[in-house]
Amino acid sequence: MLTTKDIGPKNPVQKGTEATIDYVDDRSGIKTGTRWFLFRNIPAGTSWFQTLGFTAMVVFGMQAITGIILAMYYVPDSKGGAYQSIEYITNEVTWGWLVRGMHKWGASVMIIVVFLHMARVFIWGAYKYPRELTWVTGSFLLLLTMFMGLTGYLLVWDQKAYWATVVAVNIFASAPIVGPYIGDILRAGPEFGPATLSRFYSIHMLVIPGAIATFIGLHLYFIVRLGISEPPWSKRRLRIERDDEDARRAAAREKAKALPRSVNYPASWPVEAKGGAR
Amino acid sequence: MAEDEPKEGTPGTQGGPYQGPRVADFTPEPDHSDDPGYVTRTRFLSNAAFAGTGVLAAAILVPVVGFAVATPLKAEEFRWVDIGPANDYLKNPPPYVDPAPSTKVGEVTSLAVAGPSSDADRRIYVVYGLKDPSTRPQPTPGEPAAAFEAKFAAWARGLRANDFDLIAIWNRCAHLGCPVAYSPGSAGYVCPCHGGAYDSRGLVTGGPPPRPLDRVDIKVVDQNKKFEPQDIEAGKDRVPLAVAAKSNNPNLRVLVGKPFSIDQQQQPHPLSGPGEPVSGTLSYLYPFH
Repeated sequence: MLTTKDIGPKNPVQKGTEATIDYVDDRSGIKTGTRWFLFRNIPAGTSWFQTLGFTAMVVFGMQAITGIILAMYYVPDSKGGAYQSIEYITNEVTWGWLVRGMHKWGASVMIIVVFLHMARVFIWGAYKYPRELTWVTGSFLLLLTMFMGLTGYLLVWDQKAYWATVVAVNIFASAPIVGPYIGDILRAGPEFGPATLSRFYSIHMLVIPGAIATFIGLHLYFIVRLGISEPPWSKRRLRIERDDEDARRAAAREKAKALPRSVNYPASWPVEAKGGAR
Repeated sequence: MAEDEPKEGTPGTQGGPYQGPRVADFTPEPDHSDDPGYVTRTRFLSNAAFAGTGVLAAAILVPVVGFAVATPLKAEEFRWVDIGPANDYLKNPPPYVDPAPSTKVGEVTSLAVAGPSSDADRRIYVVYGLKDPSTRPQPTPGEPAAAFEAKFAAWARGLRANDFDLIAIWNRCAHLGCPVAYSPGSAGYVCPCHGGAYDSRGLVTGGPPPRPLDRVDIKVVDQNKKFEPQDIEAGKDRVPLAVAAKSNNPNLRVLVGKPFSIDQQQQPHPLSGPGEPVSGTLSYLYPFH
């Protein structure tokens, strides 16, 4: 609806902003894309519980940014340099204690939030048709997050980190049949050494973040494509589920009627069990 | 009819009715787009593009995966390492066995080994002690102390060099790989991580370990004698312990070699990782060594 504001010259700042947005939108369709991605319809009853997934993504973003910054000072040197560089980050670098603390505590927060998110999806029954693949990509994200925790824990390279990771990798290695090979591949040989530290550093910094970003992309695509599921107490969902159940029972009754009597009630059964003279 | 006649002067329409090619004169190209078996040009090119991309991906990924995975899977190479003169390990006469109630079966020497990481407390415990500690007399209730001591002294006098054995125990816990430590008080090994307990020969006495501590091949050789590699493989260079224990030859040296696993009956098995049973039903879960 036109108002008096639309008549006459516009504020040049507003005009410039609109022109820039239009320029980009003409060439990229960014307005449509943003509307598709963010301005979606959501079911009634959507609550704070549905924000846990986004929280996990934000924590991942924080881990990625603080991790990139920490890599500027961290040295994956098994001859003591790794631990020294961590001491240097914690005690000497400006706000090093803060950035390392964000990364360290963020790791635990991410595991907790991911589990809460998974529990929400499980208890809400949000993994059901048609969202099975969202659940599967989420399972991969859970495994990758756990593996991120394992590989990051070793990088401190003190006695606790060393032996805890020895034990964790040996748990992998005691899996049947393929376990010993997985163990050897993880520790780059039969025993923990310098090659293990650089291998874990590479996996922690480059391999898993790439995989997590890929799976977050897939996960988000499924969420946007399929929409948020309704809460279990949604009247609409309950009605649909009740109708589905009624239809299933009706179909089962029809199928039972179509069967010959001898299949429904074997001749050897007493007459009473067949429901008398039916 | 008059309306259909072309107007005079219109270019290209002079000279009567149209004589050029008509649509009906052409045989239409057969349309194969609905025939899944027919390879159109487009289908051929897209399949070729997919196959080419697959080849490219393989050309990148095969070397990358091999680079990351193949070296760690290589079997380790072991060589014999000299750990000192035989007289340091083989006591002659054999170690005195204390009649006080104890599980001590012999002398334990601890050697740090240079593992791949200096942070790993990897060591070998060389044990010279009784082959079968169960022959050791135990005091019976109500028996006078003097009578037991006399019985014990008789048993200790009767011990011969053949009753003793030299073994080398690797301190990697058979549960999940932490370093076990020898505790002289309990004459056994204890793991700090999950409380696995072993006796002085490395046999499990408690806790979660599925098999005894791994051992390292150990032998006594005369360093002045040379042997062909196949004779060393066959064990012809080994000096019998009973001979070595009685000899004062300073050229007799103790060498340690390749590690191996044992079961609770001390039968040798190929070296297994921590957590893997080497005997019993569960050992079939780890078929490759």
